[in-house]
Amino acid sequence: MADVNLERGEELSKELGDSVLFHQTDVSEWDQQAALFKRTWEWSGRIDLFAANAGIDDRESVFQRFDDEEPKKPNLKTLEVDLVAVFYGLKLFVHYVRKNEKPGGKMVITASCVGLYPFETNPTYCAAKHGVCDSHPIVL
Amino acid sequence: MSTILKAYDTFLESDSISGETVECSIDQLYFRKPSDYPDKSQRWLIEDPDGFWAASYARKRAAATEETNESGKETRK
Repeated sequence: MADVNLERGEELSKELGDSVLFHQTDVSEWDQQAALFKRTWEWSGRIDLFAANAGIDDRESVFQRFDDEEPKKPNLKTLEVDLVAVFYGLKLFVHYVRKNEKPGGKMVITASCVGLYPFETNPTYCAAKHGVCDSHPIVL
Repeated sequence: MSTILKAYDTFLESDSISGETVECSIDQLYFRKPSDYPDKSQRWLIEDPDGFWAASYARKRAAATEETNESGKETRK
């Protein structure tokens, strides 16, 4: 189990017991996701299923704040977590499942229905989710 | 949530499901296909029956690897 929220992660992990390992991770950071996979591999010696589920909605509205003198760089963390991090995870997943006793495994990406339609309240979330729909058949 | 979990169970129990996009609504799972091509030209571009994209990218990636190896050699000198 991986999440940025250390407190909730540890709480839930305690509740669920020894069959669960929690590792605090910001999936949008390559080093952190790589460390997560490495720790998982060391703990279990195998990876059968990777649920690439972590996701966040838009951090700010593309349409807000047009009154500044100079335009400010938008916060696109949503693309980093919901799209870039999925490709980090894909690379790590393939790296490790090739080492399974029986090579191979399953990866399930949580997209969203807004990966299939326009969605005006969350344009970067919508873009990221479109990005993970239909792009994965190339790999497996 | 139970529908999402039903989707996971479907994937876990199958040895043949791969590269699918599944839309969950209420208690249903819908296996979704990409958009239809509007014409033969777009179909050719994407399905690449003559291997045009495949060959181009194979050449491009081979050149990039060669460049990296060359610059690696230069650095090691």
